[in-house]
Formats: sequence, C-alpha cells, structure tokens
Amino acid sequence: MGTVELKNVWKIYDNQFEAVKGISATINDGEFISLLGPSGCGKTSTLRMIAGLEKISRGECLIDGIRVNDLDPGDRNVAMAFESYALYPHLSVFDNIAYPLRIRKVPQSEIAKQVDAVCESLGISEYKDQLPSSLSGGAQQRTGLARALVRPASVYLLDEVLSHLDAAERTMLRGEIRRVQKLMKLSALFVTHDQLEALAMSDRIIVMNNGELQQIGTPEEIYDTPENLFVAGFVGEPAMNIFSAERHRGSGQDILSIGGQEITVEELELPWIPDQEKFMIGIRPKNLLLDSAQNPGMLRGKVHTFEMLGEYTLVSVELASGELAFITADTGLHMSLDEPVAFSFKPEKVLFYDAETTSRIYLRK
Amino acid sequence: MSKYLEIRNLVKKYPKVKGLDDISFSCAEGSFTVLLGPSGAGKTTTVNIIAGILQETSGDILCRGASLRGIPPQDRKISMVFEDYALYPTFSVYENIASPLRARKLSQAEIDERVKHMANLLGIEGHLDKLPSQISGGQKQRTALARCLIHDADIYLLDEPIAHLDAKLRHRMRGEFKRIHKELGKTMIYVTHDYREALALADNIVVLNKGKIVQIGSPDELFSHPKTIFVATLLGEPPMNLLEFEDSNPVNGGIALIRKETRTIIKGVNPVSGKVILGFRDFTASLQQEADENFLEGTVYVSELVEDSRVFSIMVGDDLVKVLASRNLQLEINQHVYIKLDPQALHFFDGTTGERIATRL
Repeated sequence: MGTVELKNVWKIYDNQFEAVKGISATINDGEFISLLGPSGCGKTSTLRMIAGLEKISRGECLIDGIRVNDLDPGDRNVAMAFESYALYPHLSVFDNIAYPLRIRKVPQSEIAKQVDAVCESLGISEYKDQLPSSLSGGAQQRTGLARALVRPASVYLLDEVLSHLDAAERTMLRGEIRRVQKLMKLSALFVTHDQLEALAMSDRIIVMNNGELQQIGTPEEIYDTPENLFVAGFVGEPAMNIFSAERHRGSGQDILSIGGQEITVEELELPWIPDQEKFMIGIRPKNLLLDSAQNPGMLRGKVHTFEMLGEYTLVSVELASGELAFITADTGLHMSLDEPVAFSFKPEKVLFYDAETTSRIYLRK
Repeated sequence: MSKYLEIRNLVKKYPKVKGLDDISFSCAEGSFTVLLGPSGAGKTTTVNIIAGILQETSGDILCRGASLRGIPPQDRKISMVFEDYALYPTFSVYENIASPLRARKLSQAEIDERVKHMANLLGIEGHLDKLPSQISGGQKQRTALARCLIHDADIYLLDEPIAHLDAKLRHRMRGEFKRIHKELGKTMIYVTHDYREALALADNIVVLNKGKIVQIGSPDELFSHPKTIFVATLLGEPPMNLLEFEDSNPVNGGIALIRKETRTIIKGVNPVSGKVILGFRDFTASLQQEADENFLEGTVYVSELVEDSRVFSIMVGDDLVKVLASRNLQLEINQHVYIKLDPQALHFFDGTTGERIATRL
C-alpha cells in the first residue's frame, strides 16, 4: 500500500520566494510518477516537502491517507535516493544498503537476505564488499537506489538519480529502475529535468514550470496533446513546431495566413479550425509530410538545413515569413540546401493554442 | 581535383603510447571531412599535425600536391578553431572577428564588408559592439568560428567546435554548419565524437580508433555497411544489437546459428560458418507472438515510450536486445516473445576479428 496526495501545496521561503504554488496531485498505489520541469521549477521542493525535508508552507500532504505535514521524515515511511548518491564513504556497499534496516532493528539474518535480493535485482552483487569510492558512478548510484529499495516504504522518492551518469549507464539504469518498480509494484515519484527519461519510465507525468503545475497525464497524453505552449516546447526533441496563424473571413472568403502564405481553410483540409482571428498551430516534426507535388493546401518553402541522422533525417524548411518548419523523414531521402519543397499537415495531429494565454484551444461542441 | 589535401602514412609516436599509426586519407577541394572517434582515437593529434602545431614522427601532408613538411603553422594557409573559443576579452565581437584581417593590413572598407558578411552568416550581426563577456556561450562560439572562417585559408580545421554548447543550441548549430560550408565552399576538416554530427555534416567520414583508421566512407555507407563491430556500435542510438553465436553453418537456403544449445535458422542470406556475431538495429526487427521464419526467442525485460514508439528490451539468453514497436503494443514483463528479423537488414561479423562478413543476397 502506498499513496500520496498533495492538496493545494505551497512552498514559500523566508524571503517570500514562492517555489511551489498550489500543487494538487495524487500518486496511486503502484504508480510511477515523474515530476518533470526545468531547473528552478519547484519539482525538487515538492519532493522534499513529501519527504519532510522542507516544511509545507500551505496545503496538505497525505501519505496512505494520513496527514504528514507535522511528521518528521523518519515517521513518514518514505525512502529516498539522491542525485549525489549520498553514500557513507567508510561503509562497504553491503553496509550502506543494510543501514536503513539496522536502524530499524531488523534481525541480522533477515538483513543479509534482503540486501542480497536487492543487490541481485540491481546487478551489484559482485561489489558488496567494496567501498563506494572504488566503484563507477553507475555502481554507486545503484547502491544508492538499493539502499532506498531495501526496505518497504509507502513511496520511493527518486531525486534526479540518473543525472550524474554517462549516457549509456543512464539508459541502462532507467530501464532497470522501471523493471524493479513494476515487478515489485512500488509507488514512486521520480524528479527529472529530462523529458526523455520521463516519457520512457512513467505511468504518469506531472509537468511543472515556475512553481506551477502545467499538466498531469500519461506520457502519451503529454506527448500527443500538450495543454499549453510550455509543455509543447519542453517535451519532444526536436521540439514541436509552433506557427502563428491568422484567420480572415468575409465576402465569401475564409483564409488562413500562416508562415507568410495565404491558404483557404477549405484547401487545408483540417478537421476544424478555431473561430478566433489569431492563434498558434502546434505540430510535431514527424507529423509534417514532405511532398514533391505542390498542392494548393500545402505550405511551401526552401530547404534551410538537411541532416541525415542515422535512423531518420531532419529537414528544416524556411517559409516565406522566415519561420522555420522542422520535419523528420525516413532515411533515404536526399535534398539539396535551398531546394524548393512543400509539405502538408497530418490533419488529425494538428493542435491549436491561444496566442495570448498559450493554452490549448479545444473544439467547442 | 580529388586530392586537394592528402594525408600520407602519418605516424606520431609518444614515449609510451603510439599517437597515430599510419593514417592516410584525402580530401577533395571544397569537401567536408569529419574525423569521428572516441576520446583518445587520435582525431585532435591528426588535425594538430595538419595545422603544424604538432610535429609528426613520420609521414607527409600534401596540399595541392605540395608537401607541408617544414612549413611553420603561420605559413600553411590553414585556419583553426578551438573548443575553448580563445577570444580576446578586451576586444569587441567585431574586433575579434576582424583581427586576422587587421594583421594583414586590409582597408577598413574591405574589413567592414567581410566582418559583416561573416557575422550575418553566423547570426551574430546584432552583437558586434559587445564584449565577449556580454554574450552567451553560443554567441562566443559563433564569434570564434567567424574569426576562423574569415581567414583566406586553403583548409579549415574545426576541432569539436560545438561540443561546449547545450544540446538545443548544438543541434541548431549542427544544421547551420552545412549551410555555412555550402556558402563558403571551402575545404573543411571537422573533429567530433558525436556520430550524429558526423552523419549530418560529412561528405566523407574517417573513423578513428586508438590511432588507427577503422573505416572511411560516406555517412550512408558507414551507417548501412559498417566494416567492423566498432563502427557498428559507434553509429546509432540505441547502438546496434549484437549477439554472439558459438558456431554457424550453411543450411539449405540460409544459415544455422548456434548458441547455448539453441539453434536459429536465418533464411535469405549468404552462408557463413564458425563463430559469428549477428547485428541488427532496433527499427529493423519486430515482435510477434508466433514463430515463423527468421526469428529469435526471448522474454520481455522492460519497455519504454520513446516519442510515439515503444522500445522493448528483450532478454535473449543472457543478452539484452532492443526492438522498436508500435506504442500500442502491450506486453508484460517476463512475457515470452519472438523477434522477427529482416534478412536484408542483418549484419554479420567474424566472431574473432569483428570484421564484417558479406551475407546480403
């Protein structure tokens, strides 16, 4: 059993800085949730308030249904792993991992069994007798994770635990953390600034910026339908294209000007288009389709950059307005710089955003 | 002319280690050559010798047929940009870019025209009056590049010029580089450890490892026909899946691969025999529940969402391989699956030497 409920939680520091502004969210039992955002967005403050390492300024935090605002960290039944590993340098890997069991007076025979099991699942059995300083960063972080996972906790709080590792080790360990979490049905909150990690590992993602919650959803929802332009720009690499658009109606005409070009709404063949005069169009690079034909409903431009990147090719097209459209295509495509090209939108993948509020515009039914 | 710059049998010996071991390649006029390899491969040593700031032990460098041996760096008509920018802190961006031209006593009007052209090309025209301390890392790097490229040189040497930038800026500059090269039409040698930069920019890639050339080829050749396991795993993310088989032998219409008492039949490839390593990229295979032809067996280790696909890690024996699938595919951890292989997308390498074996029909 492990659930966390945040109810309108604020963190206001002594200098009046509002690090977290009214976050409400729930971690369900057995769920892996990522807190994703750029540095300074309030994600670590949020995690530290759940852990009890920061006081909650306003609002409530419930763990397993019990209000923990006034409980010490040790009384909250949470386990934590840190970016900096925070291992005891004079203790062996075994003793580091055994530490939380020893302070809870678990019998010696039981300690050995549990430490062995967690070492096995994190692939560090061979290092048990070594000191942390003799290990690679990856093995040290595995030790840090093992120390968190060795005892049953309501929720496991993982603070940027992959950030210090090299790319290969990071990719490897993120898969293993997810595997262990799923097999053991653990509830986990994972803080990261890396959108790739959040998409790869999570059941749901909480996106934060400037202390405010931007969106909560499954990785698919966050990737497919970002709720505002911040999420749209933060998740996905190469980033989502954002074009400004203006709709002109009158005297039998219904025209959209986009990228310095005027296209009739009819020719665009989109399922719907917002009524308002000014808005933004968001579409991912893989949902723009390059075409050698130049049909009336297409945007036209010339190739600005062309990059074969192995599994795919990245093309940027300079539009009449000077804006760049980024398009990913299959390999095997060859284009010259400055070559004229046209492309269309995958109609069902087009998103609309309000130019003022940056929020997503929905079809009004 | 195809051999504008020719590197012949370059050797660099250090007291304890060999720096370069018989490096030979050539660059056509106006071409973009990338030296690609991990740290310690000899990339920087090679360009430093070309620049003349490091002395070769033996070998020769010819530019337009004439040896550069004995010619001091400043007389080589080679311009170089360094990873750490090396800007003059008290000079404006404009004066930093203009400094090579000032040394040559060009007229103010000509200097002005050329500095502005270069600043435009690199997108720093709005920062010409600022000091290096007042601009961002990306702008400093562009300033250093502009100063390098404003020289009238025969060869431009670019040693990890964008390695210090953050990922977003690096990706943007990577695309811009090709435009800059096209615009200037100069012969450039670019050093990187990032395979995507190499694929995106190069006419020709020279892959180096431990002071030796491993393969020379176009981006397409290197990605689709890596000559060794080293090249196969250097290019691609995730790296190419590799599985070692203790033995193999021809069977009717294909080959049998043997590892730890399991026998895998691959049809539609030329025969191989003995110890081999099978390689395939994650997007060339698929997962299915039934066995038919050309498959491997395994169990699901974990799955991850990658943009709008799902990447499955599959445990095959004691090895993990990755397979790209539709993100709608739902498989449980430890579930048994078959990996369907495409014979035309398989790579075979000699189990002992790691060299490529031609198997495609």
